[in-house]
Amino acid sequence: MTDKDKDLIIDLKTEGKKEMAFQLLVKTYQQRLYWHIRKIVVSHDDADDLMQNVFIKVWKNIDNFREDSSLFTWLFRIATNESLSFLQQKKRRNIFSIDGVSDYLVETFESGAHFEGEELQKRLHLAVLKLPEKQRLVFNMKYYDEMKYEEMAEILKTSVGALKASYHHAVKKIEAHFEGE
Amino acid sequence: MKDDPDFPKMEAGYTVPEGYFESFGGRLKLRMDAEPKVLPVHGVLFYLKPALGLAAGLALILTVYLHPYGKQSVIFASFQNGAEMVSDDQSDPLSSTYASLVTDGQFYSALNEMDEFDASKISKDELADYLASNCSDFEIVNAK
Repeated sequence: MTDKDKDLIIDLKTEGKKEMAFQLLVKTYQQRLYWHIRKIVVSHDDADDLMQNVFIKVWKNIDNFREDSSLFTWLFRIATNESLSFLQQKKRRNIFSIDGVSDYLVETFESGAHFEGEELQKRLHLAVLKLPEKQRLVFNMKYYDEMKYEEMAEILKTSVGALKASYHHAVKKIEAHFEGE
Repeated sequence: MKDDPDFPKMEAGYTVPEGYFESFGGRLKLRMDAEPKVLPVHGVLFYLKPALGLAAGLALILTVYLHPYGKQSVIFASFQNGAEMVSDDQSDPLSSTYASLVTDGQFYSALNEMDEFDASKISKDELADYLASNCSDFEIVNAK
């Protein structure tokens, strides 16, 4: 954990400094968290709601943060869990069928709101959105966010080997998708 | 994959509304201020404890009173009021047995006898008769 994060956590747990420290936390991490959430749920509005939920959870639970992982890891774990829970809730409410999370995400993506990528970027997104959930998550974190496997392992609470295997399968499927187009 | 020259590293291409990140902190604060303040869990339990205890006590009293076997206490209450002991539920064998065996007069005379009872007035013969009719030989031999 960086010294900056350590100081931030101390301030977040100190009455009188808490609000200022929280504002700094939001300013520091909002963009990275937003893009992480956005790639999971695709829609800007959903990502905005979820990011607010994440920061509210952080505010309510900062006193319980045991510091056995970095602040970054803790925030990303909350954001990932919130985003995946959101998709699970949608699935349970029968908004889309059991295997239809991908279809829902593709549909949301194709609605075109807040996307200004080129054709190749769009094709890559469509291929990624058709991956199974875990592979999609691992691909986004590795390819777009350039996260280290060790960091991903901490956030997703899984082994580096499993993550490498997921990424490998994801790349193979995307390549097959492009070849089949 | 991202090192593959035919498949270069690409940005996601997603965008956000103009000024989104600049205004996010303010919108977050508004939402947090609007959120209902939640009492800590131990605080809620602390305030609810007396009410929960009262409710549990009331539930226990009602259970005893309304339970079928609880009618015994209703029967005894009717003795005190001098009321005629008749079971509400004629199909209840226990209460109907009480009703057929005991009357108000019998009950009060039994109580009076208990008050006037003096153990020193019992003769040895009366005691021997009582034991012979109410206890077995084994109980008498082993009595300390």
